[in-house]
Amino acid sequence: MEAEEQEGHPHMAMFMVLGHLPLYEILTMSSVCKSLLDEINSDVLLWHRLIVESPLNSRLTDETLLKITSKANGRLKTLALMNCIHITDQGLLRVVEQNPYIKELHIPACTSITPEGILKVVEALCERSNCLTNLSINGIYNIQKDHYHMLALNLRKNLTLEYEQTPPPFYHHIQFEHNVLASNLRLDYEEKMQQPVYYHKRGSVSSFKQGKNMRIIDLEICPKCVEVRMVYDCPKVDCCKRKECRGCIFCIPRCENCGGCVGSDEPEEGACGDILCLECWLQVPKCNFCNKPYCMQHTDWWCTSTDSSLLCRVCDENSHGYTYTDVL
Amino acid sequence: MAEEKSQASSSKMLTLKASDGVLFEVELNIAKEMKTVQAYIDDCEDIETIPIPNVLGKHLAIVIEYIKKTNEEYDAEFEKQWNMDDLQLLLLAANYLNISGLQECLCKAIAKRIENKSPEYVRKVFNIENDHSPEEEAKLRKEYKWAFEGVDKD
Repeated sequence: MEAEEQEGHPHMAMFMVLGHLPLYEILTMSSVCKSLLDEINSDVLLWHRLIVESPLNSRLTDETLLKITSKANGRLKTLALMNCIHITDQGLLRVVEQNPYIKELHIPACTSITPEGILKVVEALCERSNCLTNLSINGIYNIQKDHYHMLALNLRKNLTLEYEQTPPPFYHHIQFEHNVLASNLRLDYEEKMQQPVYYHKRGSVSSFKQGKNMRIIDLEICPKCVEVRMVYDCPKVDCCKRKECRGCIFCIPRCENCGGCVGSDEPEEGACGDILCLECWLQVPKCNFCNKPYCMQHTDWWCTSTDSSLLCRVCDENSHGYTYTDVL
Repeated sequence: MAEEKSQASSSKMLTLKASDGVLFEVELNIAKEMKTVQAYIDDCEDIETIPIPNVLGKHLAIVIEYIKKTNEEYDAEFEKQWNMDDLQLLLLAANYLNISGLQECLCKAIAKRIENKSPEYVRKVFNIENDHSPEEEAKLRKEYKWAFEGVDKD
């Protein structure tokens, strides 16, 4: 193995990693050397999956998006635009018209896109093919129940159609009533929608996480306030209202560490401003001055004081008279 | 009868021989996670020692440990222990042995390490020579000008 390695040439491993890179890193790699550029330009499969995160999210325009997606030659399968604030309804629609086989569409917090725009895009996709099976739209402004119902209707139709047109081979050997098949699919759809979603595992809109068994639509109608929001389940084994403990974060506040529900009388605030449930609060290390902890997401915000005890940033700032500016 | 046979085979041990001659005795069900080894076993049923010509002993040890211990927590901590060279060699090993879980894990780890970095950084870390001509470089810079305004100060 070592004898074959040539000094200065990209390790074969780099070619394998390409498929896991978001767009920015792919563009970086194409500047690194000739063989990587060749690989990137010639591997069409690479462009079937496009993930745009930071820092490109604020730089991507309708025009550059169209140019990049054209590299898929109409076969784009997964499109993830994470907080791409400049992409408009028209921009997205043009991409979708050129790539009708999109299976996964993730456009969280793409704030220039409107609910009507999403509807047009999803309808366009569902008309031309039955491929769309996953949609993420958390963070798009003003999604109302009507929009949500239309989206769900379209996607549900998609699943049924997809099945009817391309039944899996093994079903040929089994006798099935058509309506049993259809009702099985409905159950399948409902089941997929019932995958538990936990608050502490929600990830962030800045980075795309490919999940297994992803929900068909990320949002739901909150059973408590009836708004279209992210609805979280309760992971607490001993939560007395377990099955009913489902709601958006405004209706049911949750612990940042464990995702469990936090009753109205118990929320404990960490130094980072996030809430923790009493159990988690008791277990994590606390600031020597103010006795507040940091949640798991902000453990790198701890400062060490002169006697090597833990200090939170607020107390550190107060004792030194400066302010941390990287909080945003 | 079939049940007895499968019980016996699940505790059967297999020997894997790395490229530098180091031998590893592993249980059959661990070895089967490596699809390349599985194919080898399928072809020659009674084999006791399987040669793994492309993988060094030290990397094969890491791979075997991964298969034994893999879970969400282990995977999250796994990649932090290795430097870039080892990560690449491990990825090549996982690819040769055809262990999809480990390949995924390593690809993600390497991708994470080059997140938001410049081409110069990538060249340095992977020891790659820049063989683009100045014209090619200029062309690339122009084509992707919109993407590279303001890079990480590595």
